[in-house]
Amino acid sequence: MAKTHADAAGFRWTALAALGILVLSPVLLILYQSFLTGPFFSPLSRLGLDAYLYIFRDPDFYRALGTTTLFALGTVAVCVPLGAVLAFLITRTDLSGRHWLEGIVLVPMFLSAIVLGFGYTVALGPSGIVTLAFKGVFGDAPWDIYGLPSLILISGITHVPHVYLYASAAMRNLPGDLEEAARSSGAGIWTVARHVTLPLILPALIFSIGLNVMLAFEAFGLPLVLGDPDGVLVLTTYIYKLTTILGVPSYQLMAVVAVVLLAIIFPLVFIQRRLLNRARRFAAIGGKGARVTSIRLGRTGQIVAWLGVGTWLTLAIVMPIGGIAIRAFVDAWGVGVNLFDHLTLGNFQALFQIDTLQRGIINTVLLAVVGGAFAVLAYLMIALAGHRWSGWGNTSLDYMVLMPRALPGLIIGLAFFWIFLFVPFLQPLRLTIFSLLVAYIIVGLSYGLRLIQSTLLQVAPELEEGARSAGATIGQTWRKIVIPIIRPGLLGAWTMIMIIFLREYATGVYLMTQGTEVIGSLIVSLMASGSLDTIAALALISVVMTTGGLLLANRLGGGKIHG
Amino acid sequence: MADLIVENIHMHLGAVHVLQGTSFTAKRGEVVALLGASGSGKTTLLRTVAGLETPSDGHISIGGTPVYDAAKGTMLPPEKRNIGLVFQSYALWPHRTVAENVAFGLMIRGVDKFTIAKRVQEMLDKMGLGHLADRYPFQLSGGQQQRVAICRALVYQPKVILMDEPLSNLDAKLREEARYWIRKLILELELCAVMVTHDQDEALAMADNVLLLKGGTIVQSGTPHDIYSNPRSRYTAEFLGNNNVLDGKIGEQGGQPALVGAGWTITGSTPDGNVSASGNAASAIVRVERTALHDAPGPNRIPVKLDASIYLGNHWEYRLSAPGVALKAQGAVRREPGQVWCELPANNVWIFAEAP
Repeated sequence: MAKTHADAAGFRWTALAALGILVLSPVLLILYQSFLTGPFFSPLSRLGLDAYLYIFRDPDFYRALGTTTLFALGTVAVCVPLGAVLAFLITRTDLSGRHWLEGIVLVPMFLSAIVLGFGYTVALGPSGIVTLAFKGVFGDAPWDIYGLPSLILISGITHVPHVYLYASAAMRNLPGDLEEAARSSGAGIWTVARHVTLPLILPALIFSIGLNVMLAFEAFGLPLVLGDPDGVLVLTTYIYKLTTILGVPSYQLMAVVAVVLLAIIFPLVFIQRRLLNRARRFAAIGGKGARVTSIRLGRTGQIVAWLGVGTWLTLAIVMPIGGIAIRAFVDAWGVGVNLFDHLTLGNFQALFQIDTLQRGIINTVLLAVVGGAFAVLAYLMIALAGHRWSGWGNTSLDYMVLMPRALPGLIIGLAFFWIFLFVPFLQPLRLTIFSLLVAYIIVGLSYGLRLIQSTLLQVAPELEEGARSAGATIGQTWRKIVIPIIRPGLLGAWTMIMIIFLREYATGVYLMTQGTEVIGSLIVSLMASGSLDTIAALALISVVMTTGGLLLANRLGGGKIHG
Repeated sequence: MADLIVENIHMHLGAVHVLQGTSFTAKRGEVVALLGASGSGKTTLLRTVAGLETPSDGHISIGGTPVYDAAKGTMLPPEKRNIGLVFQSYALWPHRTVAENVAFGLMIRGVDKFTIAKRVQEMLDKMGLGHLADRYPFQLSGGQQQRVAICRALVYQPKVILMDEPLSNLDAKLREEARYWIRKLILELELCAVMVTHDQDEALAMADNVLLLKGGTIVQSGTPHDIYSNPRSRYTAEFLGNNNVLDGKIGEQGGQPALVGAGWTITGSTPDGNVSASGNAASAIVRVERTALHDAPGPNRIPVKLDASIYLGNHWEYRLSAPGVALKAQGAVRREPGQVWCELPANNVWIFAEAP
């Protein structure tokens, strides 16, 4: 059928091709590198399975694989019940202050894991402020922040928002009449919760289990900060350690582990997608919107609930952020040190004296604000290319967008580092912030695209058809009708992408050279040298920036938030 | 010369054959109504004319220009068809003022700013919307929004105006007004209009030509009067109007086809020409307003019991029953329950033999 003009096919296929190059080149390069015997740029490298053999014979690899699995399961075991209970308390009961809580609960999700991890070490680490205070009173502190159990606990506690988000959405969508029907036929609150509410939100819970398993496999910051000092390696930190294991860059080994991670996470992404569609179907049954009266907790109930919520808030937000905030303004602490004697702004002064750190801050802001705008533009192009497009073109677009979801930021950064080394005309760009921007756009791709696609879907088809029948081409319709209508959604998406880019730390780890420093990656590299003063100042700046981004997002009615 | 020619349009949605060779024409100064139950394919048919759906076979031309031709592989996009489309939801663009909404089609056509302003204002004035030009759609009432939608579709003088359930979002009173003025406007401007509706009153009141669709084919077409009083199939007969349906067996009386029930016989006609053998199952359909009550037996009268009189404001409705029979009739007065005779006049009785 001759309808090329009508369908803007030229634009759609061009966008698809561009996306294909951006998404597939890192994946293919990793695959290719994994089958070489040495780094791809070395003339001595040839095809072979040596790297696989090395990795599959390395006991450390199996230990890391086992640890990662345990870490993932442990995280889920902690965060899913906590998140579900929190969602229940906030959406279904009259918990006092729940409206205020709604906004706060999500905070840990927006902070970079490396910043959070650092926060925990300065608060609860062996010489952390809380630990020291506790020792001062009780003589000894019965916890050790380093090691797998603490890592799992902290990871679980900080991933509660990822469960809360989906569980609360499901609970809000729950048709109130279903519960009321059960209650009017004589069932008590807890019977209703068990037999009606739980089965109905089960899809959302299963979805968040999958999501958190995935996130745990991709986690890098927390394991690096809390696991590494105790010798606990997960797959991502194992890759990080491989960097220098043989004295020369062992790219082929890193590639093999990346392939293993991809092989584990990619199926999860597909299952997730299936589940999400199923969960949506469930939500579509949704009731008439009549709100069920919230369950009254009573005085004792309020106290018990707040004890739980308060403990979680303290552990997940107050401890790490408070720790950072205090640590950033003192130059020393320890047993018997009076903090007030050590109050200083020196930590921040240092930031402005050292070029690298200064550039890191500027780059972070530039990438988030300007880069975020570019990213939104790129996502908009891709979203429009797929907008009301049927056939295999759109299907392949869909799957390509999923691909980066299965790659931890660390690996995407690594792959782009290789690409900027590998492709001759790109080499000069490696030393510029542009290389980071490209990698960031891929890291944020599936999330950002989902934000924009969901706003696009809110434009009723008739609004577009009306323009077409009035004589506008598809391009004119997009420019004059669709984009103006979704402008608020685009602004919202921009703020959300800004927050994601502010938070990102792993992607820049390998891409970091002089000129491409960002706060997160600087913290990662400073971790090794242990200059706590500088890290604390950087971490606080990161927290402040993220808070600013969140406030802005709130102002602009920022898009829906989902992982 | 017809301004819109639709020939033998076929369309498939997955495995469903939504349109099965539909044809019709429309010319200037005429309203064609596509009437049908939901799922009859009426909206799909309209959308194929607009170029929003791609049929699998057939031919469509607008103002003499072929816009779709399966044989030649022609498929003009909507913007090349020179049509005006009015949506059920009005689909006014929320980010543009009334004037900007109406101006859109002219702007796209590269008309200069001065002319646009003049024509938009003329159009709005004509519809009594002149003072609302700078409002946004959400600041208008439903009736005003609908008029803006019509302005938007008419201002660039399209060859054909297509309306998808244009009145269904209006409340009952406004709807009756809108029927009248939309039809008047179309006749005045000598437009060629096609409208989709599921509301038979709307189709009968507004159209010059009504096309009744069922399962993707046109069951019957004709003037409103013709399609209402001369249905050629049971579906048409039952779809329109308020009906009494009697079940019985085919018979014959005085050389006329008849329907025979338990203790009664009524004569009538067989509009679909299907005169099957005596004794076969059949049904008779009679418009309720043609059904009369009497206190004595007579030709084509069935003895029934009056069960109840229901007050409906402007008339009374009588509920009648006999073994195997349930009928309705209307009258101006309340009647007491009891024995009555229900007359179904022979020239208003349509007998349809059941499909074997």
